[in-house]
Amino acid sequence: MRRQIPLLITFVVGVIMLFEAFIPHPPFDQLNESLSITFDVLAAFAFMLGGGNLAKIHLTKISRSEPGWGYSAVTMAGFFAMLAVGLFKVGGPSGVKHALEAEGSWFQAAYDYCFLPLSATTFSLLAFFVASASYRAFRAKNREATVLLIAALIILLGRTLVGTALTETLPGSLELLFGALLAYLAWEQYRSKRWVSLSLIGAVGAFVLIRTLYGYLILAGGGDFYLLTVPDLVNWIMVVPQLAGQRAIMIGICLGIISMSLRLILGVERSYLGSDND
Amino acid sequence: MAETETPSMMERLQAIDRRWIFLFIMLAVVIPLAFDLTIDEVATPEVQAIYDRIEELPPGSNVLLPFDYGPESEPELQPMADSYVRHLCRRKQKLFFMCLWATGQAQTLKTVDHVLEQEFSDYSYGRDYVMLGFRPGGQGVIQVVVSDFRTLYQSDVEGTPIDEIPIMQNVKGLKDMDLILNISGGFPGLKEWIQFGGDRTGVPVAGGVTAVQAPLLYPYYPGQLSGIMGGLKAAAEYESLLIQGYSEAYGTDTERFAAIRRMGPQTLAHLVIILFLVVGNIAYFASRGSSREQRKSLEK
Amino acid sequence: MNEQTRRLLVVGAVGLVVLFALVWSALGQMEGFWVSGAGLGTWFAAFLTLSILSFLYDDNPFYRFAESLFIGVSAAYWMVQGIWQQLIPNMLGRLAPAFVNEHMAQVPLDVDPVDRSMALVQLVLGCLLLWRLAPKGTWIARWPLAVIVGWAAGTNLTRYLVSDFTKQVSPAMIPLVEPSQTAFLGIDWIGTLTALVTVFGLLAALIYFFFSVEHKGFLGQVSRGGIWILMITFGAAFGYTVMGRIALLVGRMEFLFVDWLQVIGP
Repeated sequence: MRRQIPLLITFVVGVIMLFEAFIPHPPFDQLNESLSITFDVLAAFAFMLGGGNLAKIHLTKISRSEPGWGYSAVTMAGFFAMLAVGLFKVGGPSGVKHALEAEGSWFQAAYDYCFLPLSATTFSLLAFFVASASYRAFRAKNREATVLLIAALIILLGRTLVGTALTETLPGSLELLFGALLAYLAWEQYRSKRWVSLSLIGAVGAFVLIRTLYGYLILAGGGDFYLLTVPDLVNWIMVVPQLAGQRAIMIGICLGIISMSLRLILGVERSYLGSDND
Repeated sequence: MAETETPSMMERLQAIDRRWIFLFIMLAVVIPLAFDLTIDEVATPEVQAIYDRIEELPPGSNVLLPFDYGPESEPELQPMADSYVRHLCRRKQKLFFMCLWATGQAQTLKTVDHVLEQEFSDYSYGRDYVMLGFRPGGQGVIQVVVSDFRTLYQSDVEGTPIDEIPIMQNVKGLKDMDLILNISGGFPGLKEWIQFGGDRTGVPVAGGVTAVQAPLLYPYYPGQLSGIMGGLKAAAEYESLLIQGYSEAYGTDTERFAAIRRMGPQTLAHLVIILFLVVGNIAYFASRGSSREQRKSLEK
Repeated sequence: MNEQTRRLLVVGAVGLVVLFALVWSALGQMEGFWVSGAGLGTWFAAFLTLSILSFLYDDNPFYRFAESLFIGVSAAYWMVQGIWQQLIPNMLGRLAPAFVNEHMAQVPLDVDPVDRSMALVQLVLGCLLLWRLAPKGTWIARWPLAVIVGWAAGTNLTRYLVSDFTKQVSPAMIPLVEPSQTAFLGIDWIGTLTALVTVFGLLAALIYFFFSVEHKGFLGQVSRGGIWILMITFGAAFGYTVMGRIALLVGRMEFLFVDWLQVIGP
């Protein structure tokens, strides 16, 4: 009973929602609407569950005078003060029919002067940790890590004013960079005597050289010829290789979600039900 | 043996107290704030696409503006929200604000109070724009409003019944919108608007997101996403587009554009991070090289 | 420098900031906390901001205080919003429209009987969900949980399949060579490179994720290419993450120096 009924509910609700995508007509469209509103209302109940759970944990801690109960008292004071101010719509126009964020409302004041600085500052701490990680952990230990590092450097540079400034003052600098990279790769292949890849890289290098010379000498910067600039390169990375990798990840995650959804609907995956002991 | 020796400079550089790094990055942000470091940004195609999309909309089009973010991403996203509203109001579009985040309505008010009401006195509430407010449920809310806003929104934030609001007279569901212009700080956000809103109804979706989210959303561009703006840089680009496009209104007065102003500190901080990456790696390889030499000499 | 001198230094630095702010506001250069409600609010916000930032030096009671307050306040914020924006208008408003209309919020008085019975179901399910907080019989909360899970599974299956799969495959099926009238050899080389990376980059990265076949020989080479594409992806993600985090810090510093201390003009 404790497990079968929830499994049945999941199956029925899941199948209805699945059908609705293919048959958006009665009764499935109405069922979709009713079930979706139920989902939304339950989301609001979940906020209450979260708040209730927090209160339960911290009130227990306070009543048992566990170490650090003073901080639990702060949490609870903030929690109940905000709750009271919000539920009774303290301040603002008289009555409770006005908006929560109405002018003069204490709830909005608490948002502006308490919730906002706390939330914004907590997240801004990450800037410091990301800086520290850049310095201490981000090492070009092997070839893959080097690619990652170079991509990150180009993006960081390209998404600033410096990237824009480089566009105007240093045309062709990226062709040089690209040439240097090709030369390095060619040297690596030569040392390890991989002749096939060496000739491939050589061909690419020769082509880049010819194209650049052709552009400079014959088109003289016009036509379809343009020099790579830092912002252009960043855009290209974002929209081409980055996108390809991201798309592969997206497809992978998608397949995972689809199989997980099927497992949930068919009752194969039951971990969300928890153990039998509760 | 090596432990007893005094550490080399490179090793000391590697073991530097992280609080010095923190101080460095804070200074890199604070110092440029005092100076006016601004530059005309060149818009990337993804940003230009949103600008053009709004330009192409005929006046009086319905634009849904879901504000799905909170204070934690305000510095990046508030400038985008302000710019969108400025642009849409200049183009005389009808605005429908709503949010999937509890904090979204408070953020909406910032834009409405500081931009819409201050700069566009001809815009009147109920006729030209409406604030529908927050409803919990994330993608569940989108799933419902696809067919009918009234199912979840029986009244607006002020408590006025929806049917008494003139702007809502000809609007039933998401399909009556001409554009969904989302500002998103995470989940639920732009991804859900694409999956449950845009792809389902065919209404074009575009939006601004935090820099952290942006790379994840690029695969939707340009097919499912008309344009995408990631982080402060994109916000600054959009502001530049507005200044260029509406120079008679904004040509001299660029004070109000927060993202352009913030790009100065952003730039210096990026340079400092690049420096960290480079110095950190040099220190690492130099100290690794020297310890290898030491090991070799010990073996001999 | 031992720990005690260090601590004294920090306390001294904080004291200096407070002293500066007090003198600065007494001189009328910034708003004092005694001037208005907004002034008091800004000072309190600055106190909380500095308390959180103090964590950068070390864990300390001010940080723990601010962190504890944050947890309590944010939980209550979402809860209040959930109650006023959803439960009252969309559930109670359908169960008892006359009562809600009189005392809480404006809702339509004529409610569809189906909607009313659904609202009752929602109320029951919601109460069952909250039963998790009870000391006994928490298993009953699995029923509403099953509705949530079933709904999410049913919708995700189709939405992901459409948006993240089928619509992702078609943009990767494109011509590999971009012709051009004016360019070198009549081919738009950048466009061609773009098309090649778009198609083969995706394929290589997908092959790297495909674990059913051992990555040896040709497949091994391709999956190595896939790793390179993924490394570029992660590098870009890292760059963007740095960008985002820094922007948040800029916002906070603007608050401290422009809005609160007003030492830097807007």
